[in-house]
Amino acid sequence: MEPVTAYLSLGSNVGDRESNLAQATMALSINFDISDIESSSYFESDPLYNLDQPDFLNSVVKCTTTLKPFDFLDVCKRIEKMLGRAKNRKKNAPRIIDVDILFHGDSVMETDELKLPHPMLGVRKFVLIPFAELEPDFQIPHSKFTINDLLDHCLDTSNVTHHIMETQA
Amino acid sequence: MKNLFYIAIEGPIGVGKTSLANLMSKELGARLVLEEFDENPFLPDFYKDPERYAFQTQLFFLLQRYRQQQELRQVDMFQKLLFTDYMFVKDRLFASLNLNEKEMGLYDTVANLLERNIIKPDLVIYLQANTESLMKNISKRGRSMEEEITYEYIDALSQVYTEYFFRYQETPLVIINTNNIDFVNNEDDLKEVINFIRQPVSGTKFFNPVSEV
Repeated sequence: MEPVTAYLSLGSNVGDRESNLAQATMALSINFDISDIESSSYFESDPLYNLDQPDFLNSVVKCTTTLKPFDFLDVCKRIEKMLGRAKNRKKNAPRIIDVDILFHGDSVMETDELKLPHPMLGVRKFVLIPFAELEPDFQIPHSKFTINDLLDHCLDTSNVTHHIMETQA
Repeated sequence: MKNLFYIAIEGPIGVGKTSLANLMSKELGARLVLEEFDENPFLPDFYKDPERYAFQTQLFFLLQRYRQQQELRQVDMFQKLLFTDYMFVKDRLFASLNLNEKEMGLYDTVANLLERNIIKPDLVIYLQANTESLMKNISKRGRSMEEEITYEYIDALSQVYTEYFFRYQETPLVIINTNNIDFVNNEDDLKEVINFIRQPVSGTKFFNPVSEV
């Protein structure tokens, strides 16, 4: 199929968080059907739902892919598994890596497995802030809004701050 | 539309396949072959004991559909544009809701063999809608055989369709999100859909009208 642009949200709050995000990004980049990877900076954020856990490190990744949405989802799940995320972990529990698809071209859908555009996008500052760093004027498919519009109207009051890298190559 | 001879419209129950196929074929002066519902002798048993009779029931539907598709072969495909309101894969999508894993494996083997003799459409139009709209449409048209359909069933069916068509790449595909349009009652909406389909399609194209809300 012809390539489309997809956006992913990455998050980690267990172990070496910088390395977890970097490894997941790397894993995407070595897939033959995914190219032109761009990552935002890493951002620190408070856990939103289950407060009794370490802070998160988050990023947004932009890429080009020839994979269809559900095949793309399969890749994301394999990356989560590869980096050691337990399959039957509790919802909102600490995680080594979380890979969520935010957009896949113009796809709009609602299934148990995959919802596009990501339904929680507008209420999560830890997604919107790194996204705005990459592409503030991105037009949300099927709506009149841009990422910046969503950020302006976001009610999420949690702290999301630029992360200072502990390790640099 | 020059190189289009055969356009198939698909989507879950109540999304408006038949309506769109009717309207478009009229508008474009095309031929129309609609899905036939013949009697399935296993159906009464299936309703009494679904688990036990699911396989026979689905196999019968599959073979019946195969026969209908073979009749399509008799139609001169290159004379005039042709619309259908279903695809051969339809039964497989429904079967996946009713069969267990082992049965599905066997079913797939048979379906794959048959599929080799099926003519592929030049373009597929997949209509999507959320479960609420589907339920509304189903109750509005009031077909007696659809009275017992539950929200859960339509939701599950809709998800099977979504997963199938968001992996699909066998032919050019147009995905139309029908939530914010009404091509049955609004002529402008129908025109917009037709104009969209007139543009050449390779791969997958989306028709996602923006909601005013």
